Amino acid sequence: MSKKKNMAISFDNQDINTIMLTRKYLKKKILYPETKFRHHIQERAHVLDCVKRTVENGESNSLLLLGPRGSGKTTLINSVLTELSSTKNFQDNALIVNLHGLVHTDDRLALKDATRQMQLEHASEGKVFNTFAENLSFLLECLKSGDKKHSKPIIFILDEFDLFCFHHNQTLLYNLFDVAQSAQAPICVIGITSQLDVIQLLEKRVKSRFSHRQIFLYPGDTSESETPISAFEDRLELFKELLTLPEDENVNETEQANKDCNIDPKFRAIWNKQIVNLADNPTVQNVLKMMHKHDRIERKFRNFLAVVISSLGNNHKELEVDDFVKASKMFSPNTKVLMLEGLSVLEMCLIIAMKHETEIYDGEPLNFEKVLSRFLKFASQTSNIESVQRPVIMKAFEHIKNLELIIPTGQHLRIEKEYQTYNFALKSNEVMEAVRNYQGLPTDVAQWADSSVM
Amino acid sequence: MPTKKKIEISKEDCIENLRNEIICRDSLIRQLYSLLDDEPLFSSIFIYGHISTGKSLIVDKVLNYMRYNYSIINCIEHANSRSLLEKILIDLSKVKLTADNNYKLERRCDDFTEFIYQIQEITKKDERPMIVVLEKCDKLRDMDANLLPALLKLNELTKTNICSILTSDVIWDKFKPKDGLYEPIQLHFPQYNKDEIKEILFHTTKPMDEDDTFYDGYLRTFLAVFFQFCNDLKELRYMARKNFEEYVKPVHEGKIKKTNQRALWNNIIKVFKANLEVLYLRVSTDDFEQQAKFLHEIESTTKLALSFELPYYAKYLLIAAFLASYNPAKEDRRLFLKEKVEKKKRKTTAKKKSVTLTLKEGPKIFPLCRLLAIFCAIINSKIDLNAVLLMQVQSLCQLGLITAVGDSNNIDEPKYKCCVDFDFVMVISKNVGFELKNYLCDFLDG
Repeated sequence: MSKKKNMAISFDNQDINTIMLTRKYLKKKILYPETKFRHHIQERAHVLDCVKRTVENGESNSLLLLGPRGSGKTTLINSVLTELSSTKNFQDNALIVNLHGLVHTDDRLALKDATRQMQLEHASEGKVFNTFAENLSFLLECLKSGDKKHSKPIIFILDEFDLFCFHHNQTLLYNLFDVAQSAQAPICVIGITSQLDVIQLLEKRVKSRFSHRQIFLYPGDTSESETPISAFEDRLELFKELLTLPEDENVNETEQANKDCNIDPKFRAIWNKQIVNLADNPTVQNVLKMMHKHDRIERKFRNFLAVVISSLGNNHKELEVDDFVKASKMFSPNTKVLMLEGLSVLEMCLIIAMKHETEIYDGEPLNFEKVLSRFLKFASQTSNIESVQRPVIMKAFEHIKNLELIIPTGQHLRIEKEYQTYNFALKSNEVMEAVRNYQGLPTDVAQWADSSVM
Repeated sequence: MPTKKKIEISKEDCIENLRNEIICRDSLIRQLYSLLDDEPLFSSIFIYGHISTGKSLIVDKVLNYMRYNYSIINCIEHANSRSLLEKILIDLSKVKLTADNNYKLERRCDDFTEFIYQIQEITKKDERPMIVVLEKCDKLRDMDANLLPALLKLNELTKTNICSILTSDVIWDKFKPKDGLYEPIQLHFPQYNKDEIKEILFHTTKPMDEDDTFYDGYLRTFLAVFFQFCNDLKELRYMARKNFEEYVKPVHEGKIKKTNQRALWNNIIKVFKANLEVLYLRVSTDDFEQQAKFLHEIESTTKLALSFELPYYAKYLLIAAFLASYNPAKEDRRLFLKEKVEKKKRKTTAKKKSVTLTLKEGPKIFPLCRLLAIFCAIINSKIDLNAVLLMQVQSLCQLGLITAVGDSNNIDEPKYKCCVDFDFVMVISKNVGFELKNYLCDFLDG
């Protein structure tokens, strides 16, 4: 007890600057995972090896990095590039061209931007190219330095690789893979995508030029760590690692780290102790477990921690169990229920009517008239709910439509709006949960929702 | 570091300051502030909540207070990605569009590549963190497919300190395409509860010279009637203003004392009821009286139906049109043949289940010949179908009681649909002494 009190006092006494520094430092650590890469050691070594061989030996390579969203593909590439860029040879020689499927929506744009990233705008100015291949080979030609026999190695990184497959004739991909395969110039083509069957999208001529080197990243894969542990324990490990302040001040040599890390050692000890306590706390563990069950994606977890961290401030100087519980609510998957709770009583009644209607007719599409007559039947039985004019109910119905809780079936678009058919997009238990949580809902309505009409 | 200290103090200051303008939203302001405070920024924040729960207001005020370089875009205003992206650039770069630059950006921004390049240019000049606010972001789904995913991870693409805030009243689940999206941080703006609404209405709608407790009493009675049907703050604010004039009228005239709540209630309840019927319809106060009178006349379907003063045959034609629209064609034989046909037993048992309530399904389309056949079946006297009679169909169309559907070139067999509802036809059929219910499948089977 006295120990706890002691700690609280020391937290209170902390200067606000220290707190702000901690917050900033931790947030950076959490949101930029490049600085320290975990897991997928084998895959990382593979990619690193490929890139290295291109830079040092002038070999050409092409590879695909596949994995679901948020599994750390881009992070892996970035961490490889950061590691390489510290070597002198790489800095002098290699060129990195970043292309992104969302940004470079056609090949013309991609090539234009590649030219810019290679800093060859001046060289290609005023030249007219007949074909795409000609343009690309000109760019590569330009990179050949005069005295040395071999030209400068280039690393092409194609993020959202699958989108490049939809470009006209896949010209860019064809040319890049062609250059890589025929060893015209040392280039390394790295494709990153979340679409696992992307190879099916490639045209035959493109496919045959690709090296078929595919690297898969599976999220939550801990098999390579020294001692095999369960996925959740690994998550807990990460939790501790991300939130603790480093013991050794020189651990992180990223920019500004030295400046940011000037935290009083005494404070650091208290802080770290608090984090260990939190990690052992059953409530926190429960929250983490719930999140882990819903989603194994690490990025979501990192976002969650960052939200927790950002709640620190002047009058909130230490992390508490409550912060985690509060932040976890923001990440709850039950957004539909939250929206339902904000509807008016009338709209709620319509939702319940729709629920009954779908249950009775077993998922048949509904229209305004059907919902209205079911609602009016209920309203005539109870005294608490007064009925209003049709236009007002219509307006409430349209509000529900705008929230996309009911979705038009798309048939008979020229029909009157009363008879336009919709599919009900909510599940019965979601409606029931909203009814339970709704504050100030008349009891009749709640009972009506509960009663089965069958 | 003195600068740090200043920032931190301003967080509570911000709430304190904004409290003058925004009430009941302290915790949300605090939450939003701490999400936006301090570098590095999150890549995107998705704010969802019902309309008029203060999403835009709070985002605007907080950003204004934090002095970030920000741009607020309403997606509904932009039809294509070019106009949207250029608007963001204009806002962020603080370019003034004048006659000198021909109301155009220096470089036109057609695609995302150019957009990213220009954003990077802006950071070189202005190092403040940038925020792009996209209101009604559900409209982004209808634009170029790459726009929404790219805007969600602007900071990764531009490698600058930029954050996009998206606001909408549609939940995030509805945004996801098949292969997933980058997940933003979600922040929910809950609906105000009754007490909060009362407080906000009290602050925003109370006339300057009105007594506090009196107005409070008014709001309580007002919400007792209206809150159940509407919790949209904008609409309630409008209604509260509109009804208060009526509420205080007897007090000003000296008929009822201010303290006599019961009498005031009895006086106002009628007005409330009347106004409840025009909720959301925004009928202006002046024509409200007139409108009400007119509505009352129209409302009673009897008067409306008879106001057309249709000729005898036209009335039957309309009834026939209604029957053709709301009865399945298969049942015609059973309904309209004078001598009863014996139905096969097996058929009926199989059929019963598949019959749906046709009145609620809406009118169906029918060809002219079916209309005429039913017309002949239900009219008692013998008639000959001449051009004069057929003209009546056309005039019913012109009156808007039935509509021609489909291609107007189709003169061989034009198709129609009945536009009037059951009550209307009921009046007409009573008028000519026709038992409508005997000829409707809904009433015969159900």
